[in-house]
Amino acid sequence: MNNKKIEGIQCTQCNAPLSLHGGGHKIKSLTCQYCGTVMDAHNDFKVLAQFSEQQKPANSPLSMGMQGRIKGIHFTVIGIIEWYSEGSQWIDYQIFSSTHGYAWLVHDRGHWIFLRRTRHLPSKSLWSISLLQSFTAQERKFRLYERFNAQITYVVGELTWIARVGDQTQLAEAIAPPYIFSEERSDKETEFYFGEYIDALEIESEFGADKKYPASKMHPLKPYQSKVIAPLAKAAKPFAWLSLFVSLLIIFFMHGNTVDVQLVTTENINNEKVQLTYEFPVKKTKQLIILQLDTHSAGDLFDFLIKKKNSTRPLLQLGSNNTKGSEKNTTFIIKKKITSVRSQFNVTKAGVYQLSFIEKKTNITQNKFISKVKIKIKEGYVSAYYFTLLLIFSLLIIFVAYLFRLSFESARWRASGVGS
Amino acid sequence: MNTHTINCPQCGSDLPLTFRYSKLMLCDHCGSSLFLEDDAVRFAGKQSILPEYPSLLQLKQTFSYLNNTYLPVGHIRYDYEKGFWDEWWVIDNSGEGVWVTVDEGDFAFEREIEPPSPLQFQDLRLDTMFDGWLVTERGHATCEGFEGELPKIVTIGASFDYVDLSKRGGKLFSLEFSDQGIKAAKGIWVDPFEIKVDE
Repeated sequence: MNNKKIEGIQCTQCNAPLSLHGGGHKIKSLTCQYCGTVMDAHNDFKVLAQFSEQQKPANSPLSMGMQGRIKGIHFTVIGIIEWYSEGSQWIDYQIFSSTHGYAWLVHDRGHWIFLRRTRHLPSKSLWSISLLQSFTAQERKFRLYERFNAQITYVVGELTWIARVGDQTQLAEAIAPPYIFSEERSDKETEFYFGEYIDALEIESEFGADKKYPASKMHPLKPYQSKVIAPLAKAAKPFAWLSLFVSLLIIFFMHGNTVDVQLVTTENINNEKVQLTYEFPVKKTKQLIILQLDTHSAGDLFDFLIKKKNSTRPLLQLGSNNTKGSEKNTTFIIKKKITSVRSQFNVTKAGVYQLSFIEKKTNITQNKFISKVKIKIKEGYVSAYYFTLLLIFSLLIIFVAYLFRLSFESARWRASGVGS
Repeated sequence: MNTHTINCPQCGSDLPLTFRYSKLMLCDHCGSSLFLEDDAVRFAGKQSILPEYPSLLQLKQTFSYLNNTYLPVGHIRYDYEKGFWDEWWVIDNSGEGVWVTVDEGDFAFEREIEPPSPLQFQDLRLDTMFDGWLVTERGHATCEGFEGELPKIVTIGASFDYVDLSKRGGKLFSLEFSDQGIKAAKGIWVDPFEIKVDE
């Protein structure tokens, strides 16, 4: 009874002085740390069992009576149990808070889990489902991780149940990292526990836990952490959305307006040099101009020259071999007898501009002609090029981060025997 | 929350009354138990002050749980075989009262209901089912004392048998059997880490 609290008693077996660390009236057993005697806390500390040969855990970072805060609540270590199962060992520390009751701190391969009993039953029994199958508990979706039998190899201090060395229990554990939901079955009862992964640094700083037990690389509950790629992907997300939005905005609403579309038909020009000139107006100088030419010519026989009317200085020369001037992006496609040119460029002054077709010097003697030339001029065009590049780059980072995460989760589940 | 004041008939102190349906109150100043009957206040005896233990809930200190704010206005302590438990009478935002039972970190919100009848304490054995509920605890308890204001009359030293029943979803059904009859309440277990006490 915690209203008649005592701070110490003598072991009823070996008379050693035993400190009581403040566990309340739900404490059922007290185990002597000197002779391993298990006493009934509700029956005048009557001897229930004795395990004088039990070995103290070699890797226990906490000791009886250590105190610290978890989630801002003050707890004291009042009992220790070491478990063994299938080649691995871990330690459960029974901790007690006078305001929040009992809980467990589990130390497993250098990782810490804060575990509490819950009365909220899961939507499915953890014994009726298969590995990886999901269920709901504590308003979260958990997936069954593993089921195993465990045996007590060491016990000391005050516990809310009567624990003896050699006692066995069946455990089913489901995870929703960093949370865990477990079902524990013994001969007498079934209990459910809900817990979460706690950073080792927190336990070390709060409880003064021994730091000499480094954590294993992987633990089922360990949250995925990445110092570079995950923050980068997080930062890339708004950029991806922004660039997608802007790109779509440009593509649909800033594609410019058509100034002119002409279909020019030329006559046979035999072996004479040919120079056709086509004029078009430009009003908008702040955005790009798009020039689209589709000619049914005899292949790559013409270059294209753009200059301001009445100016002798060419603004832009477009050719399959040489392109120079104020162009931003030009594609020159020649397929059989069709030449297709698309060029983006800008001008500094509004006015009338001239496009000239200049025949290349070749040794071809056959008749050359431009039968049809479709000319399309657009102005006020905004390029989505850089935003598209940004979108691709952002998506690439997000995808790489996803692959890293996938690899981590795969390793997490592989340890359960189902991921492989 | 509206309050009005009464005067202690023993010492004359002003006592703010938070819950208008309160039936019992303890004078903070002289420790007198007071019956509140309509507009009359009647002296009902004196009690010793309850021993203080660390507790998440404190009288007149608001706390919040699931977006609701509660004000503890009364507190009863019961002794039982294993120790004691506390029952707090708390008033929510709308002025409605609810009981919060606290036993070493086990917290439950409960509202009184009409007891099912006929029902005998002896019939409810541990680990048996009653109407879809599992009997999880039974025992004998004694009222050790109270403080603040309460919606019911409690007699210090009065004892009763109790049964706790549980159901999926953290549901709780508790029954008290005494000479005065059966009292019943239904509620739900709550996580104390979700209770935030206002500083």
